[in-house]
Amino acid sequence: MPEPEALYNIDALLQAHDKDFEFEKHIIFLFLKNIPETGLKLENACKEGDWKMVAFYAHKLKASIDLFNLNPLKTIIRNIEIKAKIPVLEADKDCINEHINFISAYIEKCTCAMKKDYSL
Amino acid sequence: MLREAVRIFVVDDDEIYVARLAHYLSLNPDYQVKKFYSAKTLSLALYEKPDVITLDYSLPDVKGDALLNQVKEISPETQVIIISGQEDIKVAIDLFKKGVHDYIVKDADTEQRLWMAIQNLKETLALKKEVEDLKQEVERKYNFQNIIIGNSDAIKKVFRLMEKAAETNITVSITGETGTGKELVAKAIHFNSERKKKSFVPVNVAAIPKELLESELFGHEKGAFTGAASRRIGKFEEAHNGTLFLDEIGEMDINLQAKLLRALQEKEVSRIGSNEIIKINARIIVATHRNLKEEIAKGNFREDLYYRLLGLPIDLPPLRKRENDIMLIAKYFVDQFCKENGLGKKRLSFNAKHKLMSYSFPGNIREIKSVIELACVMAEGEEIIEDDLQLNISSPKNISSPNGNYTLKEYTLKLIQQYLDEYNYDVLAVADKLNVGKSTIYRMINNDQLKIVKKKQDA
Repeated sequence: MPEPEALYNIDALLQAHDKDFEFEKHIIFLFLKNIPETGLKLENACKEGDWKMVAFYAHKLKASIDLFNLNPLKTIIRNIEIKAKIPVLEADKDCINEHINFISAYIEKCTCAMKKDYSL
Repeated sequence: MLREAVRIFVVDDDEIYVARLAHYLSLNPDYQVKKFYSAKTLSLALYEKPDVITLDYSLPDVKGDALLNQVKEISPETQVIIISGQEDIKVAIDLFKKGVHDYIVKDADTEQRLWMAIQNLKETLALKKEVEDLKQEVERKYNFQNIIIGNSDAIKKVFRLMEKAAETNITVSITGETGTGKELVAKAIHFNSERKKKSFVPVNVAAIPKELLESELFGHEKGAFTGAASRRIGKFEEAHNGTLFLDEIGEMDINLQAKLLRALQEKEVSRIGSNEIIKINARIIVATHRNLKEEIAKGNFREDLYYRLLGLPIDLPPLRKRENDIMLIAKYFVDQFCKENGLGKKRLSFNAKHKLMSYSFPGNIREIKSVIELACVMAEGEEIIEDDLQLNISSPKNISSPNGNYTLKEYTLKLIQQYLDEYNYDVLAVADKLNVGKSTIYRMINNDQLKIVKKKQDA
């Protein structure tokens, strides 16, 4: 049976940074500090119908999602960013909301996995 | 500009990206990295004038445009590299137009591309610095006081005229014997004028075959004549907003003079083989060793062109008319040559000075420079003695420019006196040089009161 895909993957990043363990710990710490918080802000902006801020937080999250290779979120976050920039259709609002809930749940799973992996 | 270490500010509100880029750049010990998480904190530190800023263009507290303008205003030499999640090519093009050095999209290779961008930037800035240093060196070199050594009245007059020429765009015509420094004066006027940032384009009219000169000056289009394999920009165009120096203008073919006159009057040229009119704004400086009025009388030079070119005339005096300056110039060349060649300090002996002062220097500055340089090489020890100075003794000072109405006897006495001075009153040597008997000279000394003040030793 193929191994299930990891929730996150920072091998390439660490490779580029000379596999510096201190840097690895620091970058995980920054993920745990910032990403759940930004995810929450994205959720709140969506609830408030503040689509400009939805696009803004989606844009901010996009870089970290790519960096930590949160693969299932890569396309979703781009869709949210694009859809939130143009006048949002009623039909799209539910879809964006669903996507954001999925993102929040995924981030939650990642933080748990990281805490376990790094004994935090 | 770049100091030894490259000082880089990494600016992003995304802490993860700041950590990522700062850590990667810090792997190079030549990079000094500072982290900033907002436009506000960056603004406060801009006075430090970093070499490079990596900037997230969409910071929440200040618009990217405004921040970029602020950077350009406070620290114009700082190079900005945008690091952005925006993959929109239009945004990137707009930013390049605003003067950013590079635009890097946030992805898996951001660090490597940033590293390369900074390496390229470092090389570009090093080259830029080298060009700036060279420009400053040229400006220093062509500073009036550095370019012409001397404080004789004749040369002070030249300084005054050069200053007047540099203050305006007036055409300048420089005359003077060969070796008096006509091109140096032209360069000094250019590099002390407002045109100094633009090109100084010298053309030696005498050195270019007359068939080629037209194309050299005005350029040509591809196929304009046999051998015109590609378009060529002429010297007039090259000198646009700068200075065109036409050396040895007196040698220009009479037919080409008409075309030159038109270009000067209309301030426009067209390349050979083209109908396109190109407007030219070039300061014109011309030089000649000829007497152009005589050339006009002979039909070799157009009178209308002469008056068009006359502008501010500067006549460079020959060295023999700058007596006080000869020693200053000689000392300058001794010091310069010895310094450039690591010969240590050298000085001219009393007799060597006397020998220089007694000589007419028909080759002017060019000649004294080469005489001194050779003397520096030949001299043993710290002192340059008269034998080290290889002068063309057939040109003692007054022979080449006799003035006054001397009788033959007076003239002969003057000549012998000059050689006696030059040969330190060694009668045998003078007699040998002039191919006369020593008794003739002794007789003149006794009867005609030639001065004998033999120097015991050099000063």
